[in-house]
Amino acid sequence: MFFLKAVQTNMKQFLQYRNSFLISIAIHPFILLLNIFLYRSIFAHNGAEQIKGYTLTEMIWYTAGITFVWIFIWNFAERRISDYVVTGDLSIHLLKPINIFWYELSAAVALRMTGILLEFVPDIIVYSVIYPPSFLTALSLAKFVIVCVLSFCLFFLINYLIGMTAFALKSNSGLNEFVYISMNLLGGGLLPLDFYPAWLQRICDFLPFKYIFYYPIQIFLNKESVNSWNEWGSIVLTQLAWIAGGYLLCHVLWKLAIRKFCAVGG
Amino acid sequence: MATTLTGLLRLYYWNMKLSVSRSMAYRLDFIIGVLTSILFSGTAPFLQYIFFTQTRGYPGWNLNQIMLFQGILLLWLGLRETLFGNVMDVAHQLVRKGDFDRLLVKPYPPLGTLLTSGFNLKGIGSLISGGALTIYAFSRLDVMPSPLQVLLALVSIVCSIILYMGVTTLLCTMVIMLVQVGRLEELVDRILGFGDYPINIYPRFLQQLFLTVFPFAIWAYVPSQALLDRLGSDIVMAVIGCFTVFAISVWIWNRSLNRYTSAGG
Repeated sequence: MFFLKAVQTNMKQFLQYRNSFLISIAIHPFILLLNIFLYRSIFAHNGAEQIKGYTLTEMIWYTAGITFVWIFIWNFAERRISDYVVTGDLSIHLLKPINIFWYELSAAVALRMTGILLEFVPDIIVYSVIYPPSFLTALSLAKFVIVCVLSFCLFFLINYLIGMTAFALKSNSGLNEFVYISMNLLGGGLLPLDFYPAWLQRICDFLPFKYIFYYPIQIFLNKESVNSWNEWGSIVLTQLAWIAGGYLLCHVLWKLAIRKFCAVGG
Repeated sequence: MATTLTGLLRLYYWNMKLSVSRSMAYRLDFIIGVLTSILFSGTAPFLQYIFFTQTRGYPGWNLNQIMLFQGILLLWLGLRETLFGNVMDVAHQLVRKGDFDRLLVKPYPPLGTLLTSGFNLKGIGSLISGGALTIYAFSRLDVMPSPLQVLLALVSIVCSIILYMGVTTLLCTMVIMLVQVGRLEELVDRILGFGDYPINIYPRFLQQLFLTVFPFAIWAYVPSQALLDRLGSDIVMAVIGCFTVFAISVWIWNRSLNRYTSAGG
């Protein structure tokens, strides 16, 4: 009950900044246009219908898919938590009737619900007008949305863990950037992992990042390798396993960190 | 004019010293930040490497040439971040707190004071990786640029700084006029991002646009073409474009400053 109330309150707050969200309608098409020029040039120069199993349309929409995944998952829990630790505001949050984990999750959920409403929906319409997605079906879109919700949970847990490093590091922006880059690079947040050499793909297999970007975008593109219910189910189950592991880790580390936490001022 | 410029350079030097001291307050985070920045700056060359090894890349460039392009681009991005990385943060803070008014009574022009407050040591990561990549690309290309080619490359880097100062001036103008500009900077960054690729990938009208009206090609394409001895008369129009953008930006800034009504407090 507290959680839903917190989501509602946070959402009211974020909707006050709707113009900031709506500016994405102007920003995101530039990313699409740049990628259209880039991949048109590459495909024309290669004289091929497909490169690494991707058609021109799929490659362009892969990059659009990256933007969409970001819209679903982005939150700044890591910054908020490290701010609480550094400023000492954490002591105030510890007195609140809602656990800080759920409070931060509610803020992130509210932020993303606003984002989906004001960024994803207009974006997909604008993108479809600029470059129609011939591959997209209602079912693949629905499957994509479900895995993106799980990607959001996974990303939130990663952010929460980074936020907790502030107990030891105080300022953790460097570490945050490191994880952000690794996630993009090793999760398919820049380019499909199929373009990578085999040894690098093997490394990516052991990390959770490909379940945040690569697989959701494969589902969005309706690729044959993931469009059976079995494949989709297996991706969802793996995401759930990573989420369970992440949650457990957050819980254990929090218990350890909070014992050493001390604050002055207020 | 000369006294003002000397004064501004001295101010820049003092701001630089302060910025370094601030960065050293959280040393571990700073070191992680620089290492991350080096790693981060490796992503674009890595992508290009993938494009050029897994496909035939795009017209007019081979792997070693594109690595030179990326090296110069990283050098430019590092230089830009180091010289002006903090300007927008400072502008936002001053305007929101109402402290911008103080700049109006200082002995130096407010725009100059703002532009000299931009030093950010974090840009050093890109500078290091850009320098390393440029040297690597040259060793692979096995070419030695002539003094004239080096001079042309340096001219284009100076013009890049002028152009970027123009763009930053426009953004600062928007901040002092609108106070809350939201994600306008992100929008401008996206548009500037068109300069991060060789202009060969764009249709002809865009190629002309990026060499004249919005001469973003000046910060990586033009200097790399100069060093590869492939530069035509493009540089002339690009140089004129850079100075024109800067002059127009300063003119808009001065007009806006006359209408400035203060904010924050």
